[in-house]
Amino acid sequence: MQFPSFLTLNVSFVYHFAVMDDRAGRAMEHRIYFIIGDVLACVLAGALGGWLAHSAVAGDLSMLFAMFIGMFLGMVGGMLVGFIMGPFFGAMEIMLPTGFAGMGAGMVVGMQHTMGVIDPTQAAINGAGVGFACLVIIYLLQAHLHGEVQ
Amino acid sequence: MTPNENQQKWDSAARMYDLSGGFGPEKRWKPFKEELFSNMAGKILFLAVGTGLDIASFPAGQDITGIDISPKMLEKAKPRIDAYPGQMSVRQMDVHAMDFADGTFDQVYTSCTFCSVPDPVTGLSGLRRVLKPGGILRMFEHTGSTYFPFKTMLDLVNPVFRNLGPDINRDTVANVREAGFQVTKVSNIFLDVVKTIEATAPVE
Repeated sequence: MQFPSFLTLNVSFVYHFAVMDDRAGRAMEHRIYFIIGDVLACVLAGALGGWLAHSAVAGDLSMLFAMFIGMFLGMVGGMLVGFIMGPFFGAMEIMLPTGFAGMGAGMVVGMQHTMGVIDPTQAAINGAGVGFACLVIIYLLQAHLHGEVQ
Repeated sequence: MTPNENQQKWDSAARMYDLSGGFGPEKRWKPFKEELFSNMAGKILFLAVGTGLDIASFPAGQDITGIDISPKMLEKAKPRIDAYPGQMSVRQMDVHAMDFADGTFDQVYTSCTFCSVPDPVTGLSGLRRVLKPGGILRMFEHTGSTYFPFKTMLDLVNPVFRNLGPDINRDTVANVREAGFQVTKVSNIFLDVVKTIEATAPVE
């Protein structure tokens, strides 16, 4: 079993980024409970999205089809994770990142599966890594979009 | 959707409402709601009281009239209304057919409401009518997104959410403008989906 390099990204990056940005105007979530919730939800959504893509996509399918099937299944699975975890950690703040994480994980793992055989566990681990990377993207987007727009 | 169907939908949702929205979402949004509600002054209308989750974020000592279409929701809200350290009364009323006189209120506040009002522009026009000329509307709302893939996601799952309660892909800022308000401030809280909107009823 091999961990993808993006899974080893330091989780504290998310935390420190959030705290630093908080000083600049509370753009980012800074409460540790919600940061843990964000990470947990996106990693789970990614793992589910990766596993779903692996289960649904045949190894000899066209990479393009595999990408779209993986994206769709991952998004649905990710949003389901968001829907379940929402009452504990937030509404849109959970559902959109998990949908995005599932979509990204489904896309990557679906394509990966057409390039070579990976087992379901590895698909879930890779998906979890993509899910975490998607959360980092969400945090960066949030820093960019937050605040007065008119 | 008829007013009766709308009421039944929210009456049914009342039982589980605090379970789904009372902890995570409410705790997450509380600082932003407190900031928005800290501007309360004068005679205030609070639209869609629900089970009263927002009351904890109200500043003390205000004169607030709350309305909601669902008697079951108001029943659940009663302990929170009674505990509010100020003057607060509630009535069961549909925003599409409010019986307040024109220009009754100085300010109107909404919180995750116009995702659920069946005809948002008519509802907002009603709010403009009951506001004094120059009166202020302040909203905490979730809306649709303009960015891929969030727009696609929200559009895709909206039919499911609409059956459970709210629409999740509305352009509420555009609806506020269409209802005749002058939008003075829009702030994104989470991405471009959760936001606060401030608008003024025009002085005619």
